[in-house]
Amino acid sequence: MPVVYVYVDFSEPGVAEKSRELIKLIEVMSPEFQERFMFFWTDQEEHKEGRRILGIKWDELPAIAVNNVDHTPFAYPRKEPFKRENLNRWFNQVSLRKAAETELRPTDFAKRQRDPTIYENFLERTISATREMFDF
Amino acid sequence: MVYSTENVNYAQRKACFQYNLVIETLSNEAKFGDMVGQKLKFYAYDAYQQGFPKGIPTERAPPQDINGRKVASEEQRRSGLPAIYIFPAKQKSLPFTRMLKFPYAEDLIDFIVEKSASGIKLNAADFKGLGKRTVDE
Repeated sequence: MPVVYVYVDFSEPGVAEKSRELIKLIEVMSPEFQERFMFFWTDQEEHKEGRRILGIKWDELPAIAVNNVDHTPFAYPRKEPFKRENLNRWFNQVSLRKAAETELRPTDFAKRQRDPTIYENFLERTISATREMFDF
Repeated sequence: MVYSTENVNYAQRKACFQYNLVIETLSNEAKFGDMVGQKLKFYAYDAYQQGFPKGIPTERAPPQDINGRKVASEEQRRSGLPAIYIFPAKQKSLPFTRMLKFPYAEDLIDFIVEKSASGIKLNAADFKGLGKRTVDE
């Protein structure tokens, strides 16, 4: 079953308030989606590192991402307010696998990649693989 | 090879260099013909940019480490990337095997010879020391 990860932070007052509100909202909404998703929240640093690979390419929290069985990245859009109707729509989209492009635009990666030259410097003899190659 | 461009990581760059060295070595047509391209294809996949593909276990990106100080760190050990997998020909799915040690070119060729099922005629002993000839090895 896909897992919804809610990444929160209680160390700063403004962010902590937003985090608490989001957790409350997820608690209210989760019964409706419990057959489609498992819900977890975390404020642990070691867990927060993992959000990047789920498609959350920005630093500010709170943030939400879904870890699918097939590892399709779904991150809740960065600028979308955490409102019940928005979340409801997004959970429905994700469960239908319609939102794979969410916040995964190349420009966002270009900003956050710290090692964008590794391919041209160290892997230039390889074939650059794409995600589609693994879709069988 | 599955790698991540999220951070500059000394060990990852070194592993990529070794991987590339194997391709360069085996691309010598006079010695190995068209082995690279026909029997062996070497791919590089940026998991940070594209997410983990179906069937490949999710791993953490290695930490930011420009000077190699974190090579033996817990953070590096837990990262799981870079990772090298060998897949059967024409099939990027199970069954696949992961290389479990640092991919020095010599060891990588050894791994390919051991796991390959497509009639790769290579003598691993001929590549002894490949990638391990620099001062820091």
